Amino acid sequence: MYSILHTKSTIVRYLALLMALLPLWEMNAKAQGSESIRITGRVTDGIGTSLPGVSISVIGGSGSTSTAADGSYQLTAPSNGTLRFTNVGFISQDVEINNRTTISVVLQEDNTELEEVVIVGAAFKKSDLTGAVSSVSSKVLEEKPVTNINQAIQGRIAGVFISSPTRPTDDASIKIRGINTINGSTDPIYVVDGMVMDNSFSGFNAVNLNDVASIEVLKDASATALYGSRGSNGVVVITTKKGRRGEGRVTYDGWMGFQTYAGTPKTMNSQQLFELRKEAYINGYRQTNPDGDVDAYINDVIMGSNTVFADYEFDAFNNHSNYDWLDAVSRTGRQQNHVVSLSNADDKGSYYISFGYTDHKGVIKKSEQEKFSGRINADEQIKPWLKVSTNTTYTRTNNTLVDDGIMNRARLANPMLAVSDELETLNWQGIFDQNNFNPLRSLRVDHDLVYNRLLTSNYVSVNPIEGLNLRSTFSVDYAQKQDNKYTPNDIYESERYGTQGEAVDNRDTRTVWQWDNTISYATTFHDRHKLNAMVGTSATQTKYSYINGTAMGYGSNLFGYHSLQSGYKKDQRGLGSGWSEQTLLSYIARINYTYDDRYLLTATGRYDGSSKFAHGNQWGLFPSLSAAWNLTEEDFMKEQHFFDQLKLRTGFGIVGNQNIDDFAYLSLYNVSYTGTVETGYTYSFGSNGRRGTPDISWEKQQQWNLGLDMGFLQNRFRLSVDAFLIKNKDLLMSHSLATTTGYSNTIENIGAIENKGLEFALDANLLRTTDFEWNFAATFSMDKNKVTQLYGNTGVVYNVDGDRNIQKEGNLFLGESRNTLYLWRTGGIAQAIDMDRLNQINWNGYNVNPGDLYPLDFNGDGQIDQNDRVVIGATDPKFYGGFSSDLNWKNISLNAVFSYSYGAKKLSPWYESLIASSGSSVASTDLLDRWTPENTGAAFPRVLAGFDYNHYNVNQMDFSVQDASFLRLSALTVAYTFPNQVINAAKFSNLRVYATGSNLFCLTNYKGYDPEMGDWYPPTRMWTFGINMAF
Amino acid sequence: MKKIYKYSAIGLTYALILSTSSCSNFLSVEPTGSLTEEQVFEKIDNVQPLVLGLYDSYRKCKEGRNGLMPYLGTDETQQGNYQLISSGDQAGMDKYNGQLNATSTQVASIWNNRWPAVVSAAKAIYALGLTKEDPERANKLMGEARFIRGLLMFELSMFWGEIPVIDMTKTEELGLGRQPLDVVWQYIIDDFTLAAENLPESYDGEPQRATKGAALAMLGKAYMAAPESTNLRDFSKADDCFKQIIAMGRYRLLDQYGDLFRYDNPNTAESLFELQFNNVWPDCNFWQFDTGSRAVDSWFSQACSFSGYDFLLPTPFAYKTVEEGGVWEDGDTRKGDALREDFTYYTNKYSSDGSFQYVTPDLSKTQWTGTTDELDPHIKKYEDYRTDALSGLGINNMWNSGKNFAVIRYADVLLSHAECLNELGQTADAITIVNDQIRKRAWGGTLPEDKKWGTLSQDDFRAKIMDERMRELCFEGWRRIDLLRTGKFVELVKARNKWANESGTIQDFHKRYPIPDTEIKTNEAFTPADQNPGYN
Repeated sequence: MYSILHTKSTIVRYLALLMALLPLWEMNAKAQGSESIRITGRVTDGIGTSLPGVSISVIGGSGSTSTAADGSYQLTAPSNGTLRFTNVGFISQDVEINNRTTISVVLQEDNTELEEVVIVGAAFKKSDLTGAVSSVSSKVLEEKPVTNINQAIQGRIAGVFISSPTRPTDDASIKIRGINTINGSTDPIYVVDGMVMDNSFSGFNAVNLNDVASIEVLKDASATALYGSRGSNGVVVITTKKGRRGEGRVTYDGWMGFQTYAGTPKTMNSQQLFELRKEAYINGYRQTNPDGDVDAYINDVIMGSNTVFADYEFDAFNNHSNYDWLDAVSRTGRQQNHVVSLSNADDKGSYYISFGYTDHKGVIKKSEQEKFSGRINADEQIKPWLKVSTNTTYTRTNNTLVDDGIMNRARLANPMLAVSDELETLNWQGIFDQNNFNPLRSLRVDHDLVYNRLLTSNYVSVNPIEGLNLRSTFSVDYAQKQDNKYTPNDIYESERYGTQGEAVDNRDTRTVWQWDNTISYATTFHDRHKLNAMVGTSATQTKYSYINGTAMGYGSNLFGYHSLQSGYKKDQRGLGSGWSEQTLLSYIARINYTYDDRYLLTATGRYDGSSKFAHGNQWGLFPSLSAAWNLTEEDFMKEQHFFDQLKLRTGFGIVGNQNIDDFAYLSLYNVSYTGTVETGYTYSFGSNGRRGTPDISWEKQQQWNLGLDMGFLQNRFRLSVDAFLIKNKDLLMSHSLATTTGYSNTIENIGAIENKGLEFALDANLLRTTDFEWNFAATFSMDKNKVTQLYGNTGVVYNVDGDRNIQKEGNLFLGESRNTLYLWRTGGIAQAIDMDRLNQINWNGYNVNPGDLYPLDFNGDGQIDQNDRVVIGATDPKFYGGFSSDLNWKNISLNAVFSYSYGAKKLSPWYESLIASSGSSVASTDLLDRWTPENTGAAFPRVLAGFDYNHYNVNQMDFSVQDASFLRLSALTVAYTFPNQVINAAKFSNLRVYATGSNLFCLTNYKGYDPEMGDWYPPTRMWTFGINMAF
Repeated sequence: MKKIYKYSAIGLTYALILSTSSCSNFLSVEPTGSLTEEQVFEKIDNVQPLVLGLYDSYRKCKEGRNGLMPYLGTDETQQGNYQLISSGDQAGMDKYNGQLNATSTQVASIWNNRWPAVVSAAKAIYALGLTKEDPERANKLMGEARFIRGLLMFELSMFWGEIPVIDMTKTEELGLGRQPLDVVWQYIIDDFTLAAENLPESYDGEPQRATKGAALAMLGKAYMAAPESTNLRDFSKADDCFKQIIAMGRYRLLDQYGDLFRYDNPNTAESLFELQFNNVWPDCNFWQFDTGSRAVDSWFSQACSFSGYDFLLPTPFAYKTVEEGGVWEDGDTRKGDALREDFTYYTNKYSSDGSFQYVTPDLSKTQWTGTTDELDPHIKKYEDYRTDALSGLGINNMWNSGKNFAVIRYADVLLSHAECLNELGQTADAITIVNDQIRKRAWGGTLPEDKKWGTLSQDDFRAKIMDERMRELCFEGWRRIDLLRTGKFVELVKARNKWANESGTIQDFHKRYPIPDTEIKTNEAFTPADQNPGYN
């Protein structure tokens, strides 16, 4: 049914009529009488706007009229007759007169277009998608005042795990059905009005949320099949708004919010910290000088010299002063969002124009994101058989970035050090710390990042004969990025790195064009057989280039980053540039067959070629097959009244992934120069270290999906259940080579990951009375991934850092999750009675005495080494999802959106640093319960400092690993919609005001900042006030 | 009927559009900012930059912490105490305990940064052997490529024993498995022999390139170091090489030992093969970062040119006087140029009014490390004053240390010559060379009578020349090889390396490093049985 949007098939009309008629039919089956009466009334649309020009006729009789400008009409008709109301863009309605003289009608908009999704050049009806698809409507999107799509759908869709962004300039991350690749991004692709885009250049942020009509998340292979090559991480399909028929419409949506920190781990004040450090030094002295005079040490060294405490630390302790550096770099964040849209439509075409402005001033001073966007969506039926359309949007984003170090150094700052912007660095114990730049001074660094993005998707559609549609779509996604930074010459950063002022200018440009051509044909034969067929091609080219420059040595800060040539350090100027290009070509075929609305079958084939692979390996075939069975349409189900809907879906498909570096099939040599002005320069070639593997080809993902959609009690309860199994084979994986081959690594099709899961989505209309309505929705997802194969006979691939140490995260173990934590297990805190046993163990240079933490000798070889490290868990949640409650009483609504996650383990670097303190860094108040000879049952080990005593630290073992389960109230909204009589009087068609609290609470045992966002940035809470109006 | 024509026309046009978008060239994308391997080897103009790139690769093997890694665990250098206690893995490099095993990432780094350069050299040798272009240039380039391959295989075989031999003309025969020592060393000697024949005595303004002198020096060293089991060790042939270098008349000892380590005096007349570094990333050697003092860093920051992180320190033997049980005799000027013992710095950091004054650091600011060797004598030879804030050059960070480094210098040629003479029974002549050239300069041009070597037996000379080599060449990268080729490795390391001595676990098998686990696991020609004995 792809091509029959404007020449609606009789079937659709008939069905629509039938649906509209049925209830009335039953109600009025016994109507009688047949004299002519005069009938008056008014016709309005669903939101109360008067509809002029609606034609009204008497079925089977004579007489017709149309409504006036205010929607009113009058007509004479038989008292037992039936009136038919028709208007272009609305579903026709037949109304039994039934002796009434006043009949006012609300016409429902014909939502055929809203029911349509555009998938690579062809339009589909959503109901024809037989795979696992979840939808979110614009109404749901309005419930949370956020500015990006990922955050808006958080907790709303089963199987989609979204983590909120940490900084105002970040994007939310999104994972659909777990992680399905080893390398590369786990981001899904976004398809905006048919144009495929990824998240580079802040892509997901480039679409104004207020322009979105609906979002579909395609989760299984049969749904994503049309994207064959690029759908392996799932597909998010975004359809933007169109003009609606009726009167022209002007809307304004605006909100303003205030943002504060939502709560941070409690840290010790100056008094507590002073005592902690003192105790640490005493413990250190006692441990290394068992016969020493402790009192003398305390009096002469700790309290009587500046070895342990600097003068300013004594002062703070004596004066009970506490200095809050984080507060000094923070402020109340402010966020505002304004969107104006103008739209109209007639039977020839429609337009939708919008302008948006968003400004987000972050909680860290100076951080800001400002966004301007504009959109034109227009379509026109030029000839009965010819239609053109454009969806075009432009976005400019101005980001003012602050260095992460500002927040980090402020939160780690010494509470005994008075806040001052005179200090070059922040020091503890009076020890000059050259890396600890004063964050107040670092705020003087200017860092601006600007994105410009133009997205345009345009099509010509031809309907030569009934059922046949030819469509050619050309889309362009142009993105430009400019990143400028200036570090002034008089802050310590410039001295530390010897730059004397540094200016950086990075510019990137990316142009993507996509050209899709499809032929589709829809037909129905013998009434019961519906067939839709489509063939098409899709070509995409991505070109990227960058240029960057760095200059150092500024005599003054007058010009900031605006003048690279003013830097005097000519030999340290940096310059770089590069180009890249990728192309993709696809042939697509798809058949939909429906028998009697009972059996639905979809077969899709996609043949993709990618420039990422060598000739001969460029092409991959990605078929999928899915079927659905509408049990409620079966005769044997006609008698039951329990199920209103019962649909069984199943699908199998293969999708591909080519998301690897360019030219991984070639061994490449780069040019470099060495030398100086004095010695002259040498021009040389060297391998980039990677061996090209000519025979690499598509990474393949096999997906099985089984789903059941149920509706009960007049569809007041709807439940969808999906089970899936995803097997990723031939994973494109970078792995190290024996260096005797001459290379260090290569990318090959090796390794496999298995991923399986269950998803539930429930919608319930719990209460429905005239004034009161209560809706509840919930999603529940669980998935589990497992690495089932690595290259060769390798059982583990370690993630090694620059110093060749194996990391806690990022290692791949056969048979384990993709996302493991790999550490020592905690043995415990040593007690005096354990010492006989513990002294048997070789701690490899560490000391363990009563009060000290020690790792478990896991393999029992009497020695603690890397072989005792084990996988102690995974960062994947066991289950996650969200639920929402929507209460409406008359014109007031109360909406709450919750999200939750259970069972994930996480490292909390922030909390680790707080509990690893021995008083010479910020410490958690949890350390008040530390081990002392009097408090041997303490939760935390004793503190030690100042002496040659090498002991294990809390962050070396799973002692500090956190349970990241949480339940969060993401948004709570109270809204009031003004009643029709009020807004009509004021010439509005809609007026709603609301207040929202975001992130009001988060129940969790996680000790760091936030179980979801992690420890990079303190979590924030926002209070928002907004208005929606239309006239 | 008209309609049908119209629709057919539309349909045909459309079919055309569909088919034209299938142009197969659309998927052909070529790299623009780099060359493919085929392009590099297709002409001599491209092979030349590849050969010049080999010097970069070799230099990279020496850079930074990984470059200094083989210096650990000798009787000359060892890691600092805090480094030792903060990484058990790395501690094994000095302790020679169970932590020195096949999974040691430190050992892997020494192996892994050399092999790509060996293979690259072997590919260049192969391509140059085939080319018909410009035979004169091809011969010289061939000499350079063989010099680099020989140099790397020399180091690799000294450290691991039997190693793979990469020869592109014999890939079927040799594969990637370990070859017997005589095969390996014949390749090394052949590489240096051919390099000595092909290479010019000098270049015009390209000081980094290998010369005839450098190739002869390495050939001589190869004849001295070849394991006796190969029957290739030959002091007479070695001595011929050194004599040829001396006869060239091109090289001489500088008058002042200290002039060898001045940042403003690169590529001296004493240098036969020198790595070209400078202060601009990525051409720095970064050594000061690893050899400076953490205590100095805590007091004066990285902007002091002798601060650092104590990765590589002299052993007590290498900084103590003879009386204290060390190597240094009184009056030897080389000690002051090799070691930093005074850490006093001129700074305004600690004066109340911001004025400059001399400040001598103590250990109070590094108490947290729990160790006490931060102010013991440190290596001075890599200090680069240009990186010091006081130099006024604006680099202000010792991480950027980038003085040139002479891999082979004439003093080494003379000492090797003397060693050969002793081995050939001409001990008196050998003593003359040491006294009249090496030690004379060390004492500022006049060697006191009591410091002159008198008559020595051949064995005594052998012992004394090892100490003399340390005094002259300390921290210049030859010690491990000197210990290995003279068979003194286990004995002297156990006696003089503080950590090896404390651990007491060093054994004869530790003369070789373990083959990295990753090599055994990823190279199909290796099996666990290929591991060097003693390691598992």
